[in-house]
Amino acid sequence: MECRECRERMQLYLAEALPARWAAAFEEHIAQCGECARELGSSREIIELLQEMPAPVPPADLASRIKAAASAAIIRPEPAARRPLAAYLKFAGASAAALLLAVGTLTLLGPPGSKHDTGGPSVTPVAAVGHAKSVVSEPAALRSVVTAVPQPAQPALPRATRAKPVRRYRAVTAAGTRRSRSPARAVPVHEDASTSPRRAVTATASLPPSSDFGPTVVSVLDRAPNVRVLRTVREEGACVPVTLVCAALRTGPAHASTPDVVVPTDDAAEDFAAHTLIGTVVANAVVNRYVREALIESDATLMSLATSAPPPTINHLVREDEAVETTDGW
Amino acid sequence: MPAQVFIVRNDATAQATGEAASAPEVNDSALVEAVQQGDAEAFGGLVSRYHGQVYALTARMCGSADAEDLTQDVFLKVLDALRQSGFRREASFRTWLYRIAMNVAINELRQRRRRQQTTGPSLDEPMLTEDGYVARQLADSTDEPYQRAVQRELQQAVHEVLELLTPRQRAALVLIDLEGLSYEEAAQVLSCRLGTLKSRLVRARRAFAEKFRERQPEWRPGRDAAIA
Repeated sequence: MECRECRERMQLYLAEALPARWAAAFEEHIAQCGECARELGSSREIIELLQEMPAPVPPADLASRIKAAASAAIIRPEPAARRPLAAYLKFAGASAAALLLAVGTLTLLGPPGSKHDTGGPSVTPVAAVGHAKSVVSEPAALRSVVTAVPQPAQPALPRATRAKPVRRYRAVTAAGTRRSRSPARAVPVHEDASTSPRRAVTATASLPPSSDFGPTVVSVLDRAPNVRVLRTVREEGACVPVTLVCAALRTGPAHASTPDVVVPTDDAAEDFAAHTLIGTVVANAVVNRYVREALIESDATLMSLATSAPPPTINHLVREDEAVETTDGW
Repeated sequence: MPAQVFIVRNDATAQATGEAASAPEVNDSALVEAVQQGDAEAFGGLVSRYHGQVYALTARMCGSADAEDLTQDVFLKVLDALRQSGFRREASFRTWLYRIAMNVAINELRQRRRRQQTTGPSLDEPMLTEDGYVARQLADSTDEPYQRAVQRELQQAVHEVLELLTPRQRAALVLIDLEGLSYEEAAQVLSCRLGTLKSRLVRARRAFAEKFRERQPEWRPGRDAAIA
């Protein structure tokens, strides 16, 4: 073995990762070469330096503070286990933490369409949508976009007492969904289709002006079959976020039974807060779903915690006060 | 599991009496089971037992300035997960806890990197220079003994060099060399194969050694004071 090979394999040897067939030759070389032996000794010493580093000592009152925070968390009225969407969004916040959704807007598209519409969302095949890229013009059918209103900034609170956002909508998985016994309480997916058959939800997401994150999100969104990136607006300035407008379109008859998004239709038009919430939730769902996949592809290790409990596929969003009965029991 | 079984002692008392490393009265599984049944006191037992290790891990990964907050975040996540039966006993509680702590720490590093890109440096955070991250320091006017000053200098150097590593490399180095986990346990914490862990460790040690020698060219283990 030459010195160069010996140096290359030195750390493998120290990590007990050098294959046995090389270890003997390595040790033989070390026994004969003083310089490599010194190098090995130096590497060992640095490892020993690390191993002898004293552990940082926490403040004496840290445990009691954590216990107090835990007690406060325990007495919170709504356990997180009853909020599947919350769990989903929690992951989303961790994995795509840079994704800050500021505003969502609800948009009604086009005139009443085909007879498909009476049974569910309109047919908007992906092919018809076209291969939208990061910057495309808004379709003519998109006749109105509610003015975006930024959500008020939440006051900064200590981490332990940071208030959970109020979530009035919940996600229902396809497997866990069962129709309510009372049709009046069911989500009005089909009921108003005759008057508003073609519907899209447009969401505006604020992304950090990272040099590569925004385009990455756009590219993964373009892979989504039911999402169009209508436009991206990137303003100059270090702190100005990228604005990304995307539309989650219900596409095809198959979505009649499992639409991506269900928009409450009774008084929702007057409830802009609800629109905003829906837009935010939709953006969370569609964006993070694909961002998450991209992240998992690139970094399986970091996503391991999340993948151990994969979030549900969001098929419905329903208002909590119109909750449907599900096999999940809520 | 009845609540009265558990004895949750005050940490300050435990530290003062040197009992922090003593054998636990109740094993982790029993405490976890009690927490899952709603026993808040049992969770306090887990906090008492592991907060030091979680603090050390987060401090080594992210620096001591944020370690307290991160430690609290970790335990609140643990509590949340236990209440949702998120701990499925596929690994030991300690391994699972380390995994959560490591994820929190790595997320923090990523967010920190993004903040660095978006908002510029914070006065509270390490400063990014051509030489990597350098902690902001104030002159110390105290008259420390020489040996102690050398130790602090060495610790600071190790910390700074660790910050130059990638999060993955740092994680491998912290878990194996600083926290003393076995290869198998560290692989479980990082959810990777043993071979992957070792290759990360090899790269991490190589990078650390190279950067440490650049940072401390005069360092010799026999010459400088022992750290421990």
